[in-house]
Amino acid sequence: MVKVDGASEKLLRVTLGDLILKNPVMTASGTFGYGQEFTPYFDVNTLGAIVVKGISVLPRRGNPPPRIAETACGMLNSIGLQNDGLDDFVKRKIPYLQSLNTCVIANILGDSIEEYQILAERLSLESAIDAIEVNISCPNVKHGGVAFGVNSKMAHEVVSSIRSSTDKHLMVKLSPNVTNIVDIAKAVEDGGADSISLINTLLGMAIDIHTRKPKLTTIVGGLSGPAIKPVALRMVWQVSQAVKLPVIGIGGISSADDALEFIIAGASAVQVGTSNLINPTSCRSIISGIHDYLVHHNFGSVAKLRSSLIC
Amino acid sequence: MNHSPPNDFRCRVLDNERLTEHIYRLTLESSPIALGCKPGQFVMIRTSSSLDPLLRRPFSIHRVLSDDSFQILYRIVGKGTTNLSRVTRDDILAVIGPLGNFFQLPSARDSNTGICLVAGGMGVAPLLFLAETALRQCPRNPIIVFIGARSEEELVASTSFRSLGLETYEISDDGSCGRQGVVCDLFPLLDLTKQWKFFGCGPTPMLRALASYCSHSHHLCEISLETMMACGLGACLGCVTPRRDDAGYWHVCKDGPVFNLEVLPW
Repeated sequence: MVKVDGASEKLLRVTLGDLILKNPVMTASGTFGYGQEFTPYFDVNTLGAIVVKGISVLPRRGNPPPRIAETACGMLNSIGLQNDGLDDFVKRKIPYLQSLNTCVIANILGDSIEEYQILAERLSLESAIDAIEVNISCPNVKHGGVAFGVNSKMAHEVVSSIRSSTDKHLMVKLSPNVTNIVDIAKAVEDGGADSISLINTLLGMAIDIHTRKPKLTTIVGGLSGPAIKPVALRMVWQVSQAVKLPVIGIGGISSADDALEFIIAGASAVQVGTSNLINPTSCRSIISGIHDYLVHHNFGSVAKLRSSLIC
Repeated sequence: MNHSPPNDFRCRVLDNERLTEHIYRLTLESSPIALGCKPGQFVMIRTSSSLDPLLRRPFSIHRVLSDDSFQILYRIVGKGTTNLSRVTRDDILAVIGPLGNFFQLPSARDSNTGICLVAGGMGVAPLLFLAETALRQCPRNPIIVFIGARSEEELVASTSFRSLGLETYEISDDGSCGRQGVVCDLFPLLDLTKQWKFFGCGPTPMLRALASYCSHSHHLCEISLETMMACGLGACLGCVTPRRDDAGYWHVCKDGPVFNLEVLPW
């Protein structure tokens, strides 16, 4: 358990530009609801940040089942970005989020630039929201997985449009399903992002050999979990070297050791996703494991460990 | 007794009894779960201490044995349940629970409403807990139990109902138990001069047949559903089932697993 004293707090505190987090561990969008589902298991205020489930302007009901399939050391999902829409988020979820004593990041998604702008403008009015994470990368599985984030020009355009709609910290979440993620990262930096989070899920599929049908209704879905960690880690390392912005590492983190790999590779902070579904208290042990490593190896802060890869 | 909020527990294995080649009954030690659960609720169990299989598996609570122990009934169907079949006494399992909602029995004052339990195959699992609870909470309500399975081997849980003194009828696809057919073929045995509330759990075709019977004859009915689940906590939104009103989906782990027939599209 992390001792809540001044020394521990200083050790774990991280800054992402203008955003100050009490520790480098955030929850990944889509794996933590809006925070309330996990309150029986641990104090969510101990998290560095909560990134809530993605919000669209209008409610989305998501894809028909089956939406999930287990794979070796991972899982596929095609939830379909189910959410109750912007109005419901503001009326029914913000009051609870306001009561939290940790950083709250709203993840936004859209089919058009206008939609992203509407979301960014409206959420900018909410003091409960400390930052906006822009999902330009969710595989739109009904359209062959193509999204804004696979193309530098589109990525730049959507980020700069959102930039002009908000002063809040803008974290842009990248898709790994691209030819060159460094190009996308640079485009997003140039478009005005304040930080970059990566990776979103990898496109994958699974087949039931007894029925000869795909295991997901949408055939293709997003792969997450430990299986994707080596890909995510490589991309975080590459992007960290190419951009000046803070980088947030996501992908198969289920232990403090995993998180430390991402920090050494260049991440200023990490997001934990699928692991929450298996062990609701994952984040708690990851935070405390990072703390213990820093003490044991004599690093005075997370920032001092960041980008310390020897090669 | 109110049901407790769920938590993440390390539970000691008290027994892992092999009932047939594929069907096991696991007894776990946990007073919070034993004291805090209600019939219809389930637990999520890690079947591996490694990263594969990754996800926990959901199991309905089959029976509360004592103030600090409960049982699940499971069939070996894949990697997770194969692993589970190998655990032995004193092993420790990671268990989250109790989760989900629960069956609503008729009020004890309403002793004219009979309780009819309808089980198909492994759907029998949550209904034993319900039967024991009904005997305690509704001592004057008639109770009848219908169990169907592929063969007599799979009717292994029937003895548990009989030993409670309950009127129990079995039927199997292959007729090896003495009656041949599916569980809904047993409905003519019901005394229809009485009002009944049905509680069903089993394969989808069985649930559809039960739904059809109850709709036509205007019986109240609750069904426990099973789906693929990742978290079981209401976070991932993976475990959906269609709503009758077509206004989106129900989440089996949070809105269920028990549903009133009226809200399902059958």
